[in-house]
Amino acid sequence: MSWLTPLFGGIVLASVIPPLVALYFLRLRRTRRSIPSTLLWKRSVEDLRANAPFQRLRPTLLLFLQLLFLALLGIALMQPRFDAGERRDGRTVIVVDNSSSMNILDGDDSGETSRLEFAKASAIERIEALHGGGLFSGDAAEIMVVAFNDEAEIRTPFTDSRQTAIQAVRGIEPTDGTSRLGGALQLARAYLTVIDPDSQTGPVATPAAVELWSDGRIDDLDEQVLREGERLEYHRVGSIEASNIGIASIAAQRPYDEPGRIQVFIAVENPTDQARTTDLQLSVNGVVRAITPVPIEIGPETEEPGLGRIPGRKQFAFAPFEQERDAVIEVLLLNEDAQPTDDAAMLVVPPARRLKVALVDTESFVLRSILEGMALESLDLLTLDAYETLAASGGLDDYDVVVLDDAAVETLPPGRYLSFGRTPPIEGLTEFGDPAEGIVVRRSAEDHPVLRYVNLDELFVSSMRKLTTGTGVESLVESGDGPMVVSVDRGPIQIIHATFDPLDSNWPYLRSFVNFVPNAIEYLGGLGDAVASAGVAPGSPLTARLPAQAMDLRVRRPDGSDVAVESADPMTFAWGPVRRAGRYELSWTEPGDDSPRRRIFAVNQLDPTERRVAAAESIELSLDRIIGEAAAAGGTRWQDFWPWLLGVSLVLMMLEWWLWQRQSAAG
Amino acid sequence: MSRFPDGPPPRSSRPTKVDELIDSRLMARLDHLDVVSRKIFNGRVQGERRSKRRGQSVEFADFRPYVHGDDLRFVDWNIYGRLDRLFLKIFLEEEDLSLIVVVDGTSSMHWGDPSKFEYARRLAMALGYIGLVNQNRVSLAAFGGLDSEGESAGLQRISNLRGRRRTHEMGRWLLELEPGGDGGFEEAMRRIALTRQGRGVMIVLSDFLQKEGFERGLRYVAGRGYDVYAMQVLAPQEIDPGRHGMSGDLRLVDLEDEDEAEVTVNSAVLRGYRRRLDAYCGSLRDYCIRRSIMHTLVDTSTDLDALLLDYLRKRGLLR
Repeated sequence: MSWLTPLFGGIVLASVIPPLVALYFLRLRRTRRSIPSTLLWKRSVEDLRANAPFQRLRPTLLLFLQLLFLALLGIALMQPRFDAGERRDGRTVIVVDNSSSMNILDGDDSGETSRLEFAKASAIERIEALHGGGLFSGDAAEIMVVAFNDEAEIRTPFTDSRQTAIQAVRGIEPTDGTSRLGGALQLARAYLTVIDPDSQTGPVATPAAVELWSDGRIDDLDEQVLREGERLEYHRVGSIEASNIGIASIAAQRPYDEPGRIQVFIAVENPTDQARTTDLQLSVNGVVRAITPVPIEIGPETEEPGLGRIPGRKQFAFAPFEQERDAVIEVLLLNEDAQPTDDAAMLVVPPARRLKVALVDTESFVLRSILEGMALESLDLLTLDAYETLAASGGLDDYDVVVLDDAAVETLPPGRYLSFGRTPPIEGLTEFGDPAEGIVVRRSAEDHPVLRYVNLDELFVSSMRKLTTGTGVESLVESGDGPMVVSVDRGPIQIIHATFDPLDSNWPYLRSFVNFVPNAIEYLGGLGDAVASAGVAPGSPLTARLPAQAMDLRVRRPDGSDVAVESADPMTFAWGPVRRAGRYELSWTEPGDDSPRRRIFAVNQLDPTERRVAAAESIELSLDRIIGEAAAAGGTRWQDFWPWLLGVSLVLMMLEWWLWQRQSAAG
Repeated sequence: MSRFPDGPPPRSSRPTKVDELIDSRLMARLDHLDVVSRKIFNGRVQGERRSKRRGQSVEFADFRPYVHGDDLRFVDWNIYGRLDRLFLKIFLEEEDLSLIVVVDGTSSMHWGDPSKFEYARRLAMALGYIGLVNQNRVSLAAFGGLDSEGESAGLQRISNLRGRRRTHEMGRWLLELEPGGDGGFEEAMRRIALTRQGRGVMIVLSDFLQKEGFERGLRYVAGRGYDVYAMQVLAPQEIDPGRHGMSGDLRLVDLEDEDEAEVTVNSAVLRGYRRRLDAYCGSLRDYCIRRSIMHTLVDTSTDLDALLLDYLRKRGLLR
């Protein structure tokens, strides 16, 4: 037990108790009583005085209660407290992981508390233990609270208010996001940096202790380095034996020759060291369409030289089924495991329809031939001037996909574009240097729908523009000189761009080109469809291009709650980022049509790190390995017990008052 | 349990009729009782009890030689015939009993629940009634008390009542007593001793809480022909004040002389008071024993019937 303000309480006690005792014995207020004779009373009092050296200090119950009341009050003012743990002065950053894996219900032995709830309880206890500040003292530890998933959020900057810090922790909400610690550390360091205007040495970061509550499954640990003076404590939350399998990817397509049918592909991963089996269930618009006849088996993770531990993986393709209209497809793993979030994945498939494509300023007969060979509703060949005219008038909205064949366009209105050669004028794509020559493919994102059945091993490019890419740009094909094919997502503008002209390569002669162009057209056309979009990861915003006159926009979350959305420009609708996985439904109305229109978004948690749910016993930063200690919660919570003392003293005061009243009434 | 009194009882609580002092039921039960004297006394008139005074009676007591002036009617002529000397036959004469009941009417008696004065007045009425019924010569006296103008009345008395028909007169006299004033015990005892009419039984009803002391007053009446009973009347609130709610910081005011004592009543003070009370009552009892006075402590919470019919009979005052 320690005392926060012993001097203050001592001064109060020393200044209050002696006057009370003096007042008690000096007070003149005595109740007058008539009695037959004072003869015996006087003698009794004289006897008492003769026999008691401290007769004046002979206590009464009232005096005792008053002294006890004052003593308790004084002790309460000294602010006694139990130390529930190490108390540390200085600055501490409380970092709480609220990613998807923290929603697993193994926070404690009861199986009813999520990791996040347990981590919050433990962090609150830690805050109470760390907090050294009382009502009348100023040496409280400064605490900052940061919650992180794929993004970090400052719940409260450094504060010496215990309640503020506790409320900040209590307010942390679960998400289905991934875990990235870098943002949290950056935020903490930003608040730790002190700029001294009198110093020429620049900003100085004051060291702080970072206390992390997490299950240790964090994506970017190997990118983090602790700076000098920084200390990271890892409070492990969750069971180290939790096991889980989950859906790694989901895709659906309409076969080229049978657009009225849908085929669903799924991959399931097992990041445990035991082989697992599971049944798969396919639902279409909420109706179960298929269940695997026998459980599929997913092998255990394996150790691959140079690659580390690779989870077992099983890919499964459901048989194609008839579905002309748009459909919400959901695949469920029917096994029981720790993490239910990744046992379900949804996909919104657009209706079977043919696309309208414009080809701008083409000189490539190969490209035109491929497009003409596709089952399109229409293919319009536009000159550059015609394109610019349509772009200015909004006429490009009639096309599902615009193909720019090394076209020097000046404007890029919202829409879907497949671009070759010249770099389209959009933020995030910047040319630099001279064109590279003699390029071969180094890496390609084969899982991406655009690159399905696209083998680029034999691709040789004689000349390619070198690009730097910004945020929101995904490199699908990489060479030693930079990206060769990129996907740009700017909300209303979606582009698949090849940084070279196919005529400067051998691509037109390869089968992969014949697969790439239809894949890209279908991918972009699907994105632009009126009723569906591909899956979105938690942490990303929902974006859509709605009619300009759309109004009464509302979003229904997976939990059924509705939220109205104000959007100044429905054509560039964006809402989010979304935090939970599941089905989101955007609805709106248009003038003259009372029936609401809907668009469905599927948000899936398919992150491999979040799928690995067994709590890590240690976390490995790029330089440091930090052993975790199991987080504790549920111990005594009343480190400060001066409020209890205050309460007892108030009860004593009431008792004393009651006794005084009773004696007065009796007297 | 009665609470600790704040002062004298209100006037409205005092009896105004003789019936309230003694009711017919109690009177009927007292008819069978008589006052007993531990001594045999001379009386002025022939009464109903033996006296040590030899006189005209049928009960022979002794002989003595004839001296000049003796009544020749009592000469025993048979002895004269045998011995040729004159002897007088001496008979035990039956005399009436003189009963005097002295009531303390000072302010200190006018306190308690039940009031000590009212209790003493009812007790005096009952004892007087017993005396009247048994043809004793009953006198009542009161010291302290106030006259009609509120001044100290000194010693008040009513004397030589005899016979049941004087009961009402005795009751009226008692009802007219107004308690108040201070002291006067010694002077009252002295005057009673000086004006005594024959010998008899004296019953003093008082709390004996005299600051000047009880000794000199009792000395006047002890051993002078009176068979004295000192009945010390105390209220239960005096005997055990703590049990009756006396507590806190008090300024105690003496009802008689308004002397004040500041007392913080706690268990130690209460224990001290009980010791002093026991010692005081013990000293009174010792003093009485030495003077052949019968001391009796009467708690006013004791039922009067029980006191008369049981307790005082056991103590030998009544039979």
